[in-house]
Amino acid sequence: MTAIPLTYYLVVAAFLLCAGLLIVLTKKNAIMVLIGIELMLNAANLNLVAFSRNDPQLNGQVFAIFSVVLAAAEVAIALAILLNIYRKYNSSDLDDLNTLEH
Amino acid sequence: MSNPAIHLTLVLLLPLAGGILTYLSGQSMVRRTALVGMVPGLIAAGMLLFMSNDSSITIRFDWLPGHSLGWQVDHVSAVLIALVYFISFLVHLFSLHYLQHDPSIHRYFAKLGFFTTSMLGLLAADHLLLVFVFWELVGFSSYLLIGFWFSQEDKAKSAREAFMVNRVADAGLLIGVILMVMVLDQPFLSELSAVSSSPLVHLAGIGLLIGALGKSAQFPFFGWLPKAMAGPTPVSALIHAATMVAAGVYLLFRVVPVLSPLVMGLAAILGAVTALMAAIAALTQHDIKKVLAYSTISQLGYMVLGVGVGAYQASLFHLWTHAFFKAGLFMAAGAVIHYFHELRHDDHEFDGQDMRNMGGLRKVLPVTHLVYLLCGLALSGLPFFSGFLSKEGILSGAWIWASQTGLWAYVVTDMAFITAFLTPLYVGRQILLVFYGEPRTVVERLQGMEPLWKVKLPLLLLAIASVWVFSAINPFNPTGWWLNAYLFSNDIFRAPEGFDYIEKLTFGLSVVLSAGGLLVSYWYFRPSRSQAYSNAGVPQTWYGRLSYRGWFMAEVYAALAKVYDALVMLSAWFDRKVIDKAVNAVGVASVVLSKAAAIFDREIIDGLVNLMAWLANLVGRLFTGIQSGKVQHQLVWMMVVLLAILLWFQF
Repeated sequence: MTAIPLTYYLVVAAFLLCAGLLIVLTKKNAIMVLIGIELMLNAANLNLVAFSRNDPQLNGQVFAIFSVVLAAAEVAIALAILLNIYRKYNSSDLDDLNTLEH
Repeated sequence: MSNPAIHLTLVLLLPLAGGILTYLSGQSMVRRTALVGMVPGLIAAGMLLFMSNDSSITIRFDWLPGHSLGWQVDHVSAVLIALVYFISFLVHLFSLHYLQHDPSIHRYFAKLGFFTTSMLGLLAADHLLLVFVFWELVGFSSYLLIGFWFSQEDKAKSAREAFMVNRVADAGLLIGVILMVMVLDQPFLSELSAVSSSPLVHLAGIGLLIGALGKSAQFPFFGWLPKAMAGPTPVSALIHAATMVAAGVYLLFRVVPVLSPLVMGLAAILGAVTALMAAIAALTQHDIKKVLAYSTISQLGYMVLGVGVGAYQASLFHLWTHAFFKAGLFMAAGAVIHYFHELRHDDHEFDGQDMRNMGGLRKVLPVTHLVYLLCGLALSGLPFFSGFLSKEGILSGAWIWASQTGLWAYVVTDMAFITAFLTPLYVGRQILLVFYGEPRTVVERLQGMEPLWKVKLPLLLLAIASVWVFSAINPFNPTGWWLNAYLFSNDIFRAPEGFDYIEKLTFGLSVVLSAGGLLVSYWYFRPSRSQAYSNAGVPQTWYGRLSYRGWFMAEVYAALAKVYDALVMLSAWFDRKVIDKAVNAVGVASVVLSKAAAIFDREIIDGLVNLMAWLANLVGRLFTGIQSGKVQHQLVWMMVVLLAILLWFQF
């Protein structure tokens, strides 16, 4: 069986990244933004795994596993922050969270 | 009294101290205090003659560092100080009689003492600045004395006029003094030496000459002296005969070494012109004192002429003789005036000085008559009187000078000789009109008109001093007597070789002129004719009026004052119309300029500052859009910037 060419992985990963970025920039709900961030992280993980094919030490795959663990922790903390925000502002809409505005 | 400085201070200050004492002790004590300063002062002045016999008393002291002032009493100063003291003492005596009824007689004696001290200071001063100071003090104290009866407006006015005319001339003196002290560096009278290098010498000499002309009442300043007759008559005897008017001649005598030939010539011309003008003016006066005033001017003209022609010893000698006989004449005139004042003291319309009201007074005032006669003959220059000796010296000096100078100079000499003829004419006229003939008003003998001590003594002393023996042993030659030996070491002006004939001619001519003048005056005013004089009015012919009004000097001064007034108005107009306008224009221009500067400031400077602020504002506004506070906007910008950086590194 012939191996799937590296380019395919990269295209899929780019597509994921762009999709995630689109979600992050366009969705109003904070949870949807978090989902977009997860997509972008996964695109990066896919790239790490794909590139590690040429690395006999498999550093890329090890890095990807760390990244998955970190993503889980990050989501847990982010959801906790979001809960607290919701309690304070009664909203999870990012347009309402504008106290940094001038 | 061995210290000359203390002695000199005493001599100078005693009259003033006595005057102050008289003033403070009041009117009732005047009889006792009036002579307190004068008697010891007179003795001290006499001692001064001997103290300065061997060598001059010179006192120098530092006024400011590097500037020393000084006094010096040499033979000339000592003699003149004694002269001033002597006359002043007699005037003090006579004033006690003359002003006995005046309620402010104590004030009079204070002023008299002040004047005497000023005059003595002038004679003792060596430094020109001191001379100037005392010169001004003499002018001021004479102003006080002339205006003694200041409640009468015309007398106060006369005092003011005399003072002002003197002030004008003093400006000239000040210029001369400043030039001498500051530029020519010759501040001390005793150390003057001829300097001919600088053209300023002429200017300094002319300045000093103007000052002397003013004080000695010479043309064109002589108008003040007849006015000064407003003062009490003893004052006229002191100030306008013996002392103050002599100051000008004295100054000229002192500064002779620095006078340039030009200034000397000017002095000769002006002196002769004054002598002639004043003698003519004296011919027609009705006022007994005015005749004497003009005759004083005329005699002072002789003295200035004498200095101008180089016969300055003769001038000083004439100053000496003139002081006695003119003071005697003035005091005798004072006795006459006083007599009429006592006789007609109820009649305020009566003019006790008008000779038309006099005549035949020799019977009621015998001593006065005698004194007037002796002093008058001395004034007219008859032989055997002092006036002959000194006047002859001046006349022969003028003749010799003319023969050495040129033909035009004979005009000056001729004027002097004509004056020598006119002098006995007006003297004879006055004596005949006052003392001879029939009285033109009712007169009677009054008791106490000629008290021994206060009137007879001063009058007779002055009359005796007018006879030749007091001034020279030989009635025809002033040399060889104590006065000349003391003053000039017998070095009096003598004719140079080959000019002896001039002296002899002058001698003869003087005798002829003075005797002829007296005879002519007798012809015109002999007692049988003098009765008509009581109706004599003011002369109507042009020459008569010219003489009677004293060459219209008062009018000339008034015209000058008008010119001055016009100048003042002109300069006021100029100031208002031109200077003020210019100032205003400058003001307007500066307002316009400042307005322009304000606009520039506001629009350009402020505009630049505002532009900066506006730019900062713009930039800030531009970037506030980025800082929307929305997370997603910031993310967009982050992406844009990241992409930009990536693109930057890519290409």
